[in-house]
Amino acid sequence: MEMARNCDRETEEAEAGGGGRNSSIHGDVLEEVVSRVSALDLLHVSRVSRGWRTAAISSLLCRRRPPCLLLRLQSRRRASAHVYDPISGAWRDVPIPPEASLHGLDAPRVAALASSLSGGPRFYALSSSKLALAADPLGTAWRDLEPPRCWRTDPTVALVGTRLVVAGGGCALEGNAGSVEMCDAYGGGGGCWWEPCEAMPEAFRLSPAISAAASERRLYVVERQPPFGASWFDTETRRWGPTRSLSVPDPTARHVAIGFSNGRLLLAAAGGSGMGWGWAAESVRVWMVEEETLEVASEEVVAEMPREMVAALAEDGGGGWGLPSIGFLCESDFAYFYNPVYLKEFFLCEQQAAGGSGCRWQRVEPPACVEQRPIDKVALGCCQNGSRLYKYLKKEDKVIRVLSLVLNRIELIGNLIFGSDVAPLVLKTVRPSGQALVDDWVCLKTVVQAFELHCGSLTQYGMKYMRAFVNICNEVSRRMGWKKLVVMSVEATTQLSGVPLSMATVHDLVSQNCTSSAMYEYRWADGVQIKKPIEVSAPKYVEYLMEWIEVQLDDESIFPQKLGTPFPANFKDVVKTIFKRLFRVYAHIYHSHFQKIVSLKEEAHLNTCFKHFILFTYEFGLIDKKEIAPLQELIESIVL
Amino acid sequence: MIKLVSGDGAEFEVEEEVAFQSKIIKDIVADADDVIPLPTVSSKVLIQVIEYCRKHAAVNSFPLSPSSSAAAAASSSSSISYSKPVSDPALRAWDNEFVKLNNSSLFDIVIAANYLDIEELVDLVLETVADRIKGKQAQEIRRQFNIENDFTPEEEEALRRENSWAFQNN
Repeated sequence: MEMARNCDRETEEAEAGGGGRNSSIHGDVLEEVVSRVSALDLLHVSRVSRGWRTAAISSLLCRRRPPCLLLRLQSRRRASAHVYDPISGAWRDVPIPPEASLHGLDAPRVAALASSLSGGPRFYALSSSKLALAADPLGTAWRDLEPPRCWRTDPTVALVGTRLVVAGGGCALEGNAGSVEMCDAYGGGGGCWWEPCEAMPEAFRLSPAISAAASERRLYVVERQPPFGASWFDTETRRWGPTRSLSVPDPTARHVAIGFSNGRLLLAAAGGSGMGWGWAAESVRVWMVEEETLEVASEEVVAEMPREMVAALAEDGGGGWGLPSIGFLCESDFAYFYNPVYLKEFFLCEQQAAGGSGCRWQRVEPPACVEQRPIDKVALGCCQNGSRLYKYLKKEDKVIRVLSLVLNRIELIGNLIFGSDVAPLVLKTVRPSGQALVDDWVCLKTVVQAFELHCGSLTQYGMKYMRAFVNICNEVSRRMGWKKLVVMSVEATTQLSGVPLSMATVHDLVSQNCTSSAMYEYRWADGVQIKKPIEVSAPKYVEYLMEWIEVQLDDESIFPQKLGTPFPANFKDVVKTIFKRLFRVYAHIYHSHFQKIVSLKEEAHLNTCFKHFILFTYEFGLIDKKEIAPLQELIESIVL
Repeated sequence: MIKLVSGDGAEFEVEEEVAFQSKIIKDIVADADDVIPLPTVSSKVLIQVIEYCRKHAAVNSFPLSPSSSAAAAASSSSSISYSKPVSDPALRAWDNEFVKLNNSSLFDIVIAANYLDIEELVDLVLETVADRIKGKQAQEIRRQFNIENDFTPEEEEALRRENSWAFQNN
């Protein structure tokens, strides 16, 4: 038995030179492997061979994106912001413009707030004269709000939906202990009217350490130490719910913290043994908590930190305080843990997708600048919406640019369909996380492979457009559907799975056959950069078009991203223009590339897709008759 | 004892707790006899898989001693670990030794482990292979895994161009 093994024990180096005998890595194994390398490595993987490229691309589509860790250092003289990007595994310094350094405040102390707003602020700073609320996750810009009426120190601050809640803290006036004030931070007029609400329950008024979490409607608070009093504040009724002691399933629990993500209220608890100063942390576990009753929903552990990480977490550099409380930041299926007193390391936990079990843990070192700072100058946050963060970084760092290039794909899907703010949320409601965007993945792969065999590699741009294509159709249908036709939107969503297939093929055909037919000419003008229509080739037209549509969809004044925001008066015009232009692409495909599509047996998909498109435009009168003329015959044959 | 028969006809007798590291075998044994043919697994691979299962069955049957966790912090070389599979440092060290195999052996093992549904082993091997890809250029990866570059020169040029703008300075 030993002998058999020894034969295989070759070192990597030896093998690298000679090449394996019949080593073959392909199919599912390759995909599984590729899904475990970072996005940066993926760039190289995608250039190895065709098979590897397919694997890299499909891994990119399925990949979940961990939230960035945000770190803000603030002192009287200096302010800096840092983002940890888990995919590249690196910290980036984000420049802070002088006006956002908060040096105007008398005692600038930036602290973290609990926020339910994805991509919203994570930090605030309170002084006697104003409350500064970060305008973005990192605080590279700030909004000044009126301070709450009751002056206080270290209150619990949360952004619940768009409402800013300030609760408790050390109040200057005796009678105001535990007072709660609330205002609409994003209300009309830019003003902030603080309204007094029911005061905090007795238990929290004097408690020095409270962990807070925010859902869309409620602020949850928990005492970090036994007896773990817990309650919630409802921003609609402006009242507190019942106060109760959390019964942590781990009887040895000494510290807890809560977080709200993915519609789940999570409780992290550190358990250990020993008394008083001799207490030592031995475990860190996470449970789900029932939102209404604040009972631990089930004894099943959502995540458990490996032992050696617990030991590292409790490591205090000889300070003797061990793990005095637990830092817990969660977002979607990820969570960061840290020791709030001794910031030596962060621990990132990724909960496996539904069906998988266990968690994946990763260690993260803080940026070097943290070490020389007193801990109270450091504020931490966690933010899923990477695109906003990458915006700052793009110009700064080429690695980040490569990353954002690669990652744009996934974001594009979400953003195009649902708008960048609600994308993570809506994506989840449509599909549980971890599932592929495309149901019939095997089918898609087969076609893509067949296509690549016949027509050469899908280019990166091809990938981008095929998805953009699909999602734009879906996006527009869905948004219109909200307003006008629910049924239609449902249909559009279900179509998501079938449509990419034909588009994958189609777009690359467009790129391939670079000569456009002479019968109809393509002219492009976007009214912003290119004012006068210029003649362009078909692929160029598609490229311009997709870029332009992306800009339109990103424009919040056209596609409001928050529920309830009114659509602009010219909404229909914009949509009409988008559809008109998309129609031309269909026309081109049918006109110049249909034979090829038939040869790939893709025509049924294309027809379905086109039929849906046409029915939709008919339903809402989105394209003029004369625009449709080139495909009139086809439309009649397909639709009727 | 359970008898496993490899694709090339070799028979292996293993203890239940060793064989039950494989969920499939556990299921099969529950409603069948104790001789289990594994036609797709060669004896060479099966030997390795059994070795792995034997080790893990032995370790899993003894609870961790508290003292071993302290040593763990120091010994964890990789920054990524899976909490579920292996938290015992000694076992992890053993695993690290176990996967010092050439690529084709690893692929054979992962296919067998997948077939036998030994989640921890699948994870271990995949992670190992991924580690061998990390930080390497396309050319190095090809050499490492003996992969033929089937891109045409034009395609390669296109790929190069496509990524190059991302590396530019402005």
